[in-house]
Amino acid sequence: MEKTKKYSYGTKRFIQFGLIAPLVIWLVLFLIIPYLNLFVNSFWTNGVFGVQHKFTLENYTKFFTSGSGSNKPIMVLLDTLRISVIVMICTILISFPLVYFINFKVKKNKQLFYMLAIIPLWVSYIMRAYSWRIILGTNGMLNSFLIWSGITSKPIDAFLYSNGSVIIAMVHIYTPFVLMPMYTAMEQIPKNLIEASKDLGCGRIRTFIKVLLPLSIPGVLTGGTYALALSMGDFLAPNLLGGPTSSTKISNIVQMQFGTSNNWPYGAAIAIIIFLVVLMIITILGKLEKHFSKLEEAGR
Amino acid sequence: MSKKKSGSTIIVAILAVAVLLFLYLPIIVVVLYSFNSSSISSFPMSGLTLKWYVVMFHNEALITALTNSIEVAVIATTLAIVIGVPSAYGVYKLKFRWKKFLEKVVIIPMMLPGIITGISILSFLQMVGIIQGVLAVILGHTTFLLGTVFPQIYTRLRQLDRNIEEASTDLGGTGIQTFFYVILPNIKTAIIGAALLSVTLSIDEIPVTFFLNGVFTTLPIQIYGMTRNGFTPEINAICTIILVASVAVILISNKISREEA
Amino acid sequence: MDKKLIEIKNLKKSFGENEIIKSISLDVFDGEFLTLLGPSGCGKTTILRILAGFEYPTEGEILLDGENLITIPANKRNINTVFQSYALFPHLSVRDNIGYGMKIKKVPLKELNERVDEMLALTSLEVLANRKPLQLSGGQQQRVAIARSLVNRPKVLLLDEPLGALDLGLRKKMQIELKRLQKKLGTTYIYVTHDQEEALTISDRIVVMNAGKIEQCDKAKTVYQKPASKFVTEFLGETNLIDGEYCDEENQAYFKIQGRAYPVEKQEKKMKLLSVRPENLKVCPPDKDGLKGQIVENVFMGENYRIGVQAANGQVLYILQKEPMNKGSVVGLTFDADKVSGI
Repeated sequence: MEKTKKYSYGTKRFIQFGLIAPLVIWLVLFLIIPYLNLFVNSFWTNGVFGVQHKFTLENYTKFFTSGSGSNKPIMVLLDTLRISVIVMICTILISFPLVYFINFKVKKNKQLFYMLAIIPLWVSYIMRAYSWRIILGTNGMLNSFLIWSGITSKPIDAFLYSNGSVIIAMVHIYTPFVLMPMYTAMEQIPKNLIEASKDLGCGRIRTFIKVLLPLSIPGVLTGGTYALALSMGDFLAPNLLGGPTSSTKISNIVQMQFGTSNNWPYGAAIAIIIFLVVLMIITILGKLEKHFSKLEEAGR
Repeated sequence: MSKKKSGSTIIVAILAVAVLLFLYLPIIVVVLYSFNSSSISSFPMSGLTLKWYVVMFHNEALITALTNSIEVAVIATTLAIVIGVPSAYGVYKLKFRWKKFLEKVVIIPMMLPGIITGISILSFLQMVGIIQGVLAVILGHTTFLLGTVFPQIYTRLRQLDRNIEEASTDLGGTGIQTFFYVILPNIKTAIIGAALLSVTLSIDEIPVTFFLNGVFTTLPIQIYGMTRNGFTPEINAICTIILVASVAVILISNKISREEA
Repeated sequence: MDKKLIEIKNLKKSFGENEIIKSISLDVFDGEFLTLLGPSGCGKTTILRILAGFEYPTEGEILLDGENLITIPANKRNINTVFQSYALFPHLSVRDNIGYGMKIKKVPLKELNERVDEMLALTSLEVLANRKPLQLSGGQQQRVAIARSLVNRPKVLLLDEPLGALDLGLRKKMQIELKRLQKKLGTTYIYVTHDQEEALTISDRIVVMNAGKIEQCDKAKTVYQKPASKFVTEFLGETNLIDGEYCDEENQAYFKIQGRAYPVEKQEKKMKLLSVRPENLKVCPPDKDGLKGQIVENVFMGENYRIGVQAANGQVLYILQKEPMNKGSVVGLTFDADKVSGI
């Protein structure tokens, strides 16, 4: 009895904390310390004899002042943000009709259509990025199709190596991320709500605007957040499909600091800036999402 | 609702099919052109061949990269499951102050662009003297895989009837017996699903690996390198094989989880 | 029946600031069917959870067979629980669900199978033995839950609103079934419910609880007919509460209602209200000694008519009759001294 008495509280809790310990240790070692370390590194500088461990804001001032015109890192950041917003909007715009169709128009095999829509998510990133090179390249499918059909006589270079091709590829890559939460959100809209709206004399268009659109906003925002955050940090699609300088994105600058330019502290500073921007986006969109979900609950 | 197909329904259907086409076009192109006899991906295709598959199997660098990728995926997934499943159970069982914080931290690598996680871990490993290579890649992969394993298992646990645990205790089960006899069988499919997803994510991963691999190559890194140096059609072949494999894995995991329901 | 199995002494339980149980003392006798009855949030389920070992009391003592129960971990107690949600293991068949407790206790396989078979027969679950819980109806799941507990031959079976999720017809059947099993196996049941009718039907004794305290603890019939407080009388079904004045004379006590004295049983405390259940109010001719009133409503209740009689002071009293009565007619109402209680 004495033994069991001692066992029941402390030991049990101790064992349960023991279950969490490996995760906590792992996260501290390989996530929290690395992130903090990166933050600290961003205040150091690269000297002739390696990294100077002295606190300075040099990297951050450099970020805002160096370069000229569109080459300024801050301008690249804004350009990246612009491209990412375009990608987000496009992913939402093309997801909507598909999700709407599966949810409200498909009667049989809904699950099958849904699987069909999200399978591209499981196709390797590199394959999806690279496939656009086959399609858009100078000797690629699109150009040879245009020549074959006689629309043009010479291949058009502009398809590939431009912001346009980067955007197309990113939209293609990030659409399933938007599709899934949007589908879940729309699936939860009670069908009778829509019928009720029609019963009350609201036309299709008004039902769509007054009922369907507001109710799917939380799902749209969740997906949009993913698309925006992931495009902000994508340095591979620009590398593979973008032009030599015109489509350099902010993450490419970071990548260069850890590669050819070999200025880690500066790269760290830019990464911290990206981190803050992404965090801001996630927070703002998260707040909006909460706001709209509350509206939704209130409406039920 | 009217039985007749209205104009708006037709427009929506056309748009939906167009979107599906857009999503599938690049995939179809890759698969088709993996059988194209010319090494130029022109239209129309010049003929059918399997030679790129042969070329692919003789590309030693590519095969090495593939085995490397599988090795990393298996080890990192195992680590993520071994760490993630018990901890998800612990977090589910316990109340403590940092719980919400922990739930948020663990998914950071999934939410943030991979490049930030990649260079963070790179800088840290450099500091503690671990050089780029297979170990670094495994550490990096496990870190972001935890971000998918933990939430999946945790979500499943929270869907369980809390009373079944009490019922097991009530019938004499100790904590360990309850975990193995009651909890584990009920989260089994979630574990399998999380593991399969982890393997595909790991084999596909570039942004984190990019900074940690050094001379150690993984499959996507190798393909990335090959595409940078001009066009080689065996990429189509290997991509087709990965495509078939990953779709198969997804269908299997989907079937397993549906059998449960 | 008179052997004390469980003794609860000054039990208290708080969750943070919130005191759920305010010093409760209670004895449970061996082999009895005891029901904890009360509205939701009165602490009845908490007592059950403390007995099962899922919660620890803030203060107080519980003895099982004279031994301290509180320090024994939940999985070592010879007490089993039937949960409101049944809590069957979804991945195990009916047979394996029932055998779970014995498997844990490493009961030899042969004995385990015999006891499971015996239990399956006792609860008429033989044909469903290999099904999974999700393939069973609510009532069948309930029987599995009970079988899974009883097969371990616990000293006490705790039942937490086990019939709450069933529809009325099935509930009545299961009440009989529960009682039958209890009689047959002689297990002590502690049963929690908020349904007073259910409590009255199946219990030997009822503990009526409110706001973490015991209002009354007595035989089912006594609790119904002699409720000890206004809460109990109102919670246990419809009643008429009549104002009046208590006066005690040498060998007879009276209760004065509107100037007329009615004989009642002697009270310890001075009663302020008289409680009469509708079925205990009798109709008599208006010129006889009784409360006079006018019929104001007739409502058919399935078996009887519930008839409203408005007394001179405006209060409407309710009575039960087989046939409806003429609206507007004047009647007298009387009651027997032993069928009423004073509060």
